[in-house]
Amino acid sequence: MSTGSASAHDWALRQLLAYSAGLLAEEELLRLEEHLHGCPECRSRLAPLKPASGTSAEHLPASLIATWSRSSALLEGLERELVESHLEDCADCRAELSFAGHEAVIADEPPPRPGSRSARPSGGAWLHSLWFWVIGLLGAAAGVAAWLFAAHPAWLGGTGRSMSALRGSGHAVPVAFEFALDSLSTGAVRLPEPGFRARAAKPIEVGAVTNVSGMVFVLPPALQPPSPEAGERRMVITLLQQGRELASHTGPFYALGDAIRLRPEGRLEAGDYDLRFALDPAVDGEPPLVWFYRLRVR
Amino acid sequence: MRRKLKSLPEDTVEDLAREAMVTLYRLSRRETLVNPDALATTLVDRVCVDHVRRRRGPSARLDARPEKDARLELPAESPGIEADVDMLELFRFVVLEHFHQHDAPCHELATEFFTELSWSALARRRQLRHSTVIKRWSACMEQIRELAYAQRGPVWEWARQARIV
Repeated sequence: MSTGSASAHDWALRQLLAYSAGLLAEEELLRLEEHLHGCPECRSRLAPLKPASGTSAEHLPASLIATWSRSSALLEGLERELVESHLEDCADCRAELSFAGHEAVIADEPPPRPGSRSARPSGGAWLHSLWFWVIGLLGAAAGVAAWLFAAHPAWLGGTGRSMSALRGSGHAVPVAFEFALDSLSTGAVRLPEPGFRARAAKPIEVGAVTNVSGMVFVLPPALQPPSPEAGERRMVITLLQQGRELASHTGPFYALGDAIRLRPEGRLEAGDYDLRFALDPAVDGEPPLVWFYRLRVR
Repeated sequence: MRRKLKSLPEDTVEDLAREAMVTLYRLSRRETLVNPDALATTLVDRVCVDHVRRRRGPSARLDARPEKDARLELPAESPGIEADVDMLELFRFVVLEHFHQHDAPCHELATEFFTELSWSALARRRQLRHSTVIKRWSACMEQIRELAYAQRGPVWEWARQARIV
């Protein structure tokens, strides 16, 4: 094998897992398939990644079912919703869970695992400390809620603003969400119609973001309720950085108005962010409608 | 299992045995099992190989297929709880379920690819150009890439790591 083909082979070996997950980009896919065509070794390494004969990737993995009480507790957000909705519809997966000795209900939090580093203190001591923790948390939450209602009475109304902490790298920067702004506000950025395709490659340039101007977004028609009934649905707006949630606001859809502003207390660090809008479905049991915008801050 | 993977903790052996049994049960519900003992041995071998792959993480090189009776070497680092689940399989499941709910053509493509793992073979069967199928899939994956970038949770974390190679 020449040096060039050896390095191509090495490159291919490192792409096989991503390839088998369908994760490679178009050019990489073409390059890897060309390599696979002439490389029996890579093809043989790929073969064990096919589902076992007679099984399908359309059902819950056997490894998830086997460790359900621990593993299902780790699922979050969309992945959790997808597993939940599949379980509702799939009698086979429910039967397999029952066979493995589990109830077809996703666990709320990781249970203790004997001998593992994540195991909790055992028995009564753990329960005791949990109660103290819960009571303390409830007390703190009540205090925060009282402060919010006193300081921001319009928070639960349609128009107004809410505060949320940016939980970024180390320091907390509060971010205010302001709604129902004038769409002619200075520096407003018009968000395009949401759609899954053709946006990820083109982030929206929002310039520098400080507490003076914040980021003002004029919402497209899809992000405005088509009817009063739709306006009552719950909308969750989340700002994310590298997949981590930084700040979030939950309120009725109608409260958004024509334009919204996100105003950090200090200056927002330069980089790419995602703004996610998640609207509750019109019919119970359906998944929420989710839209993303990639924002580039200077 | 202990012959193939030495120094495996007791609870991991239990998990892997349960995983093999769940697959056996799954197969038994779909078809009559001709030789269940041999099948169980094959499944145990497969579970052991998969376990080693999971422990190596998403950005490691794929190993050559081991000899039938070869002992497998586990990486030195102790596993996180995420190693319990085959994240590759869970990722595929999440992709299929997402497309099942939102995009039927992408769901069809994903189902065929995850079974066959060859876009060339899929293009031949559909009598389409290779580049056409790959373009369609790339358009489908735009949705998933956005989710992988923006969503929280072990599946998306795994997907992000799998691409950083």
